[in-house]
Amino acid sequence: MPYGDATLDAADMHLHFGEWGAIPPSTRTFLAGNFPFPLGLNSEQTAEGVVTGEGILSQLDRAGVRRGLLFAVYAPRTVGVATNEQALVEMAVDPERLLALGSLRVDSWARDRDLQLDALRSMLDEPGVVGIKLAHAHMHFRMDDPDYFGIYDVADEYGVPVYVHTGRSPFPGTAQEAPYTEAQFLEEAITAYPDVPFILGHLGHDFEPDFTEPLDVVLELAQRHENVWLEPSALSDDADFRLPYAMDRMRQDGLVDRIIWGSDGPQSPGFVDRYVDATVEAMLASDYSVDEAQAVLAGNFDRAFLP
Amino acid sequence: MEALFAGLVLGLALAAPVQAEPVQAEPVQAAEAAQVGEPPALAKGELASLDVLGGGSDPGAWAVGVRAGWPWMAIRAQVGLRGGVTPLLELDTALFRRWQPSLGISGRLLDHPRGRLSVEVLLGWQIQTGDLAQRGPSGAVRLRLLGIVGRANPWLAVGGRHTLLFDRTTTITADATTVDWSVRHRWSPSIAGGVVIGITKHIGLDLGLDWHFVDVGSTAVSLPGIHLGVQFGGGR
Repeated sequence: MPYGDATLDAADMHLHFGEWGAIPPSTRTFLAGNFPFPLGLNSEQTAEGVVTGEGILSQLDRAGVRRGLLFAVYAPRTVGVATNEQALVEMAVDPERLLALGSLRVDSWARDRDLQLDALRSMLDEPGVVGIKLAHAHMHFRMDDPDYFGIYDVADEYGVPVYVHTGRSPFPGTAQEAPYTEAQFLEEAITAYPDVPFILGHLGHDFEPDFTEPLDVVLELAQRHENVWLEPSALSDDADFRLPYAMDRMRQDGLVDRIIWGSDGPQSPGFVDRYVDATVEAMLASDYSVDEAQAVLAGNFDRAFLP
Repeated sequence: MEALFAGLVLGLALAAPVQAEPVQAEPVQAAEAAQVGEPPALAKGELASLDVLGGGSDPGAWAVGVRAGWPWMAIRAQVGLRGGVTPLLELDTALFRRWQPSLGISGRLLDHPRGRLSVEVLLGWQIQTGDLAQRGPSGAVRLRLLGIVGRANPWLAVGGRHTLLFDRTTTITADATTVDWSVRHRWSPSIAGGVVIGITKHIGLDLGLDWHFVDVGSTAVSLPGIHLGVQFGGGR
């Protein structure tokens, strides 16, 4: 990955695999609409070409990214299901380059809580599974609901980070209310589990033109808590404002050592490539040193997931 | 649109060879042209392939064009009537997932031995299947520009298709069921161009590039396409 005159290593901490048929129809329509025409006409074929282990590796190769982190997802009412078991299958394509975050179902929590937590432990026992992925907005549980803090107990037990989707989401069926999306509702858990790294995905991105308020909240949390990490994925916008602004603010606030780059790809062919280029451009514009850029693109990833 | 039309006319004028004299549609001159090696049918520009790519047909002449490529494929039929009006029938499809059957008319705005400018107006339906399913009435307007310079002739087509998508929302409550209709508009401008080769008066080939900017505003990016076409016709 070129950065000025230097060449940097890069790892993408936010990648989705899956089966097109396991995604709810309304979300499939949303995703297919983001494919270039005519690829969206045969969306299943297009998606299958990029969301398998082989497809993801080809997208990483195209972007010059060495390593990627696959997300298991259990959100049957919104973005669909990508199981822990399938994550292991996709990782097996190249275990040196593909790692995974496990997840769990919470839609029958009162009945299945212990069963799901045990399944999560089994997933974390697998080599290459380096953390837990949660998206309260997609999975429909509040960030401050202590009934679910048992998930953080498991993270603490295994010494792994928890990735949390913060901010709103364009997917149909998302719980968009503040307790599901706004990062301040996570502070109770962040405080209660100081040894668990919480990676705040999307930096609270709210899909509003003015991105500054939710970003302020996330950055303040990072200032107050050493165990808060920052992940600037999926911040592209037509005005080319959010990603450069966020990268600049994080550096100004002295939080470069807490940024772990992710794309939220592969989305559509070439997306990871475009997003890493946009991130590099934003870092150059904000005068990130070579060492700082290297930390963002790969160094912090290695510290968080491969200590 | 006026500026575009003026630009096309200017482009046609500039594209014409400087030494070219207007060729009258006289049998003697056509014979002279044949003697110097020009395809006889070109002397009057009366090739089926030129009718398909340049638009419009002379009274009594008919032509059919079939286009295969990626992502667009099409079949088109037209027949010339008295008064300079040419009814035409088109069926376009992108990857057999987006279909655009249309019926329309074509007329020549400029009919010169060295080129043609024509306009086409079509009305029809749009049907798209798959995850991005949509259907509704659509209409297209297209300008065609053709240079007649020899065996291989350049052509250009610019236009746009408007489609209306009607949505029916049914709300069922304990008290009543209500049905609401709403409509969305889609606009898909396009540009295509290439070279058409008249093999005989009745058959020809074309190779072209197509760029349909599909559903502007709702589709982020549209990729360009390529096609190979065959045209045939008669009636002259």
